[in-house]
Amino acid sequence: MQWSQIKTLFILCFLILDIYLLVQFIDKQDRADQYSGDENLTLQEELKREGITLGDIKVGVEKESPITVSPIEFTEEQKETIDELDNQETVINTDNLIISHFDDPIPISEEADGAEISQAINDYVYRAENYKFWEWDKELNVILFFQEKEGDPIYYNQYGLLLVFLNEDNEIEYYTQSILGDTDASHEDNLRTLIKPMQAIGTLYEDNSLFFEDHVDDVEFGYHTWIPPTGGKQVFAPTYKVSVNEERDYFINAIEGQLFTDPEENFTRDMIMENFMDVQVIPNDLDWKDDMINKLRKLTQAETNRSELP
Amino acid sequence: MRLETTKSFLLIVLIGVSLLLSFGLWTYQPSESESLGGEDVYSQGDLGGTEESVRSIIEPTSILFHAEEDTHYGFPSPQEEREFYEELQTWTMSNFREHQIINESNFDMEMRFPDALPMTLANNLFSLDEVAENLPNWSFEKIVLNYKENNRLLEVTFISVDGQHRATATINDASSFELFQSKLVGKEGLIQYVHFSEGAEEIYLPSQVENVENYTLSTRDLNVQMLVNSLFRDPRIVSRSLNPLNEPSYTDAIRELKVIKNGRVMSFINPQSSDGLPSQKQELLEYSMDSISDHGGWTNDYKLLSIDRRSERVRYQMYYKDYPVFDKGLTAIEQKFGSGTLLEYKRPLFKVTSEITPEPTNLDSGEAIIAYLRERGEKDISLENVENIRIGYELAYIDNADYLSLRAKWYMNYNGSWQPVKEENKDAMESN
Repeated sequence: MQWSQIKTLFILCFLILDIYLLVQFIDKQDRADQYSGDENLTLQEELKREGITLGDIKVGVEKESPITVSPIEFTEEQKETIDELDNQETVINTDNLIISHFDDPIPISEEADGAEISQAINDYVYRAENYKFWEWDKELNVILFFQEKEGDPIYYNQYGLLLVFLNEDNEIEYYTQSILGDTDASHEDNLRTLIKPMQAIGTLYEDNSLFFEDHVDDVEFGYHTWIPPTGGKQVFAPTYKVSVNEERDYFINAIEGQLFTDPEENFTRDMIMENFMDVQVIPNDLDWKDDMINKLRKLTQAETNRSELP
Repeated sequence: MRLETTKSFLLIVLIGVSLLLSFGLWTYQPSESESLGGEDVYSQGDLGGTEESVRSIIEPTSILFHAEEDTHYGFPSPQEEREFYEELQTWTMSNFREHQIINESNFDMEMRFPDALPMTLANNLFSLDEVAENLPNWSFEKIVLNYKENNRLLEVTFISVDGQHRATATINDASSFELFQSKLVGKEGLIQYVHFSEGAEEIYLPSQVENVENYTLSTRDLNVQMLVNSLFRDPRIVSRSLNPLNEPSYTDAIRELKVIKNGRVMSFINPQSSDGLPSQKQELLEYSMDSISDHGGWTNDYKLLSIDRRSERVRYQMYYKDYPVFDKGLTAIEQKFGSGTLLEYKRPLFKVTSEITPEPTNLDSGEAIIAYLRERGEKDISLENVENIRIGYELAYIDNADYLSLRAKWYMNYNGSWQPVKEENKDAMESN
C-alpha cells in the first residue's frame, strides 16, 4: 500500500519535471530557430512605429553562392544566327557587342508595360528570353534589359545588357546587346545560406535609407558585382534588390548583408557613352552608322546639359 | 493490481521521457552557426613573417647631438643609431608632466620621428616609471634630451607638432647619464654631421660615409593563397582568374585581391560603406598592426612611415640593414581603414631569403652632397622644397628572376616624395 503511494508521488513529480523540461526544450528550440525571427519582431515593431509598410518580401531562394561567368565567345554558328535575325542589320564588334539597326522600326505603345515590351522584341533579339525588362528611361527614351543567369537577373552589368533606343515616334530603331558567357559549374558546391529578406530590410533601416511612411514593394533575388569589370571573368554575388515606393532600389549582398552604394546613378548614361565609342569603330559601309552616331551623340550631350544644371 | 501495473508503467515512461528531454536539452545545438557568426572562422593565412610591436615598428629617422660652437654629431651608421635608440627605450623615465610654457630652445640631443605620433604612444615606446593615464591628446614629431650636469640627470622633452605644448620627464639613472655624457661630451662612437639649412627643415647629414654596401638579394614570392585566406570572409567562395598578363586576381564579388607589377605587389580592396568618425591615430595603428600580424605579414624589415588620420591610411616603409628601401610602390605596405575595417591594402609580395656577396660602395660625403644640391638649386630645383636628405637603397629587379639589387644612394625628400639626389642620366654622363 505504501509503495503504491510512493509511486503516485513519483509519477506526479516526474510529470511536473517532464512538463518543465519540455517547456525549456521548446523555448530553447524557438530561440535558436527564431533568433532572427525575434530580431524581426522588434524590427517589425520599429518599422510599424515609423509607418513603414511591407509588400511581398518573400524571395524563395535560401541557399546560393557567387557565380563566376566568362565572357562570351561566339561560335560561327551563333554568329550566323545573329546575322540572320529578322528585319535588321547586325554588327558584332571585337568585344562581342551586338549592334543592330532595324530595317522597319518596331513601334512600342506609350503605355506598354515590361511584358509587352519584352513580347515586342522577342522575335528580333538573340536569346531575348534571357533578358529581363528593367526600365524605360523616358527622358532618354532608352529601354534597359538585364541578362538573366541561372534564372535570375544580373543587375547593372555592362556585359549583360540589352539597350534599346527609341525614336521620337516610340519606335525601336537601334539596340545594342552584350552577352555574358557560361557560368562555371563549381558554384553548386559552395552554397551558402542566404540572409532573410527581412534582414536586408533591417540593414536598410539601420542605414537610415528607409524613411517615414515608406512602402517596401518587394524583394527580388538576382546577382550583382561590386568589382568594376575588366572584360575578363566576372564574379557575381547573390544580391537582394529591395524596391521602395516604386522609385528607389537598393542592392544588398544576400550572403553578408552589406548595402552598397547606388549603382544606378549614371549607369544608363555611361552605357550610352560606351556605345557611342563602340559605334565609332564599326565598318563605314553601314549606311545607318552616321545616323546612329548622331543620335547617340545627342543622348550623351543631353547628359552634359543636364549635369550642368544647378 | 491492474492499477498498480499501469502506474509502474506510467512511471517508467515518465522517467524515460525526462531522461530523453534532459539529453535533448544538453545536446541541442542551433544549426544556425554556419550562416551567422561565421565571421573570421576561416582566417588562417600565414605568410610567416616575424612579430612586431608598436615599440619596434616606430623608430626615429634621425638622432642628433648638438655640441658646443654649433657643431653636430651623429652615429656613423643607422645600425648604431638604432642600437642607441633601443637602449634609450629601456631607460626609466619618471616625473612625467605637461608644460604650457616654452622654456628653452637649445637641445643637447634631438630625435625626429617619421610622422607626428600621438602622445598616448609614449607608454608603448618608452619605459615610463608609472604608466601615465592622462596623456595629453596632442602629437609629437620630435623628442629632445637635455643634459643637466649639476643634477646628473637627463631631461626628456616631447614637443608638440605645432610647438605649443611640451611634456617632460626625467631620466635619473647613473648608467644612462654616463652613456649620454660619453656621447655628448666625449663624442664616443659618433662622427660629425654637417648642417644643411636651406631646406624646408633643418637637415643634418653625416660628413663621411663609410661601410655602406650594395647587395644582390634572392627573394621568394609570398603565398597569395595565404592572403586570400586571411583577407576574405569566406575564402572558399573566392574565385580566381587571370588577366591577359597572366596575373591572378581573386574576388568574391565584393572584395578583390589583385596581383600586380609582375607578381611583386598585391592590391586588395574591400569597398564597404563606412560612415562614422575617423579613428584616432593610435587606434589606426593598432588596427593596422593587428591586421598585418594576423597573417604574419611582417615578412621583411618594415618601419612605420606615416599615419594619416584624415584619410585613415597607415604606411610602412621597407628597410634593409637599417636603410630605407625606396622604389615606386614596390616596397611599402599601405593600408586604409574605415571605422576599423580594412578597406584597402597594398603590399610587396616578396620576402628576402638570402643575400649574395655585398659590394662596397663609394658614396659622396655629406659635404659633397650639399655642394651638389646647392649647385642644382641654382639650376633645376628649389632648395626650400627639400624636406630631408638621407642614404637609402634603390631597388631594382634583375631581369625577371627572383633576384633584386639594392644600390645605396643619397636620397632627398623633395616635395613629399623620395628621389635620388643625383639624377641617373647625369651620373651616366659624368662617368662617360
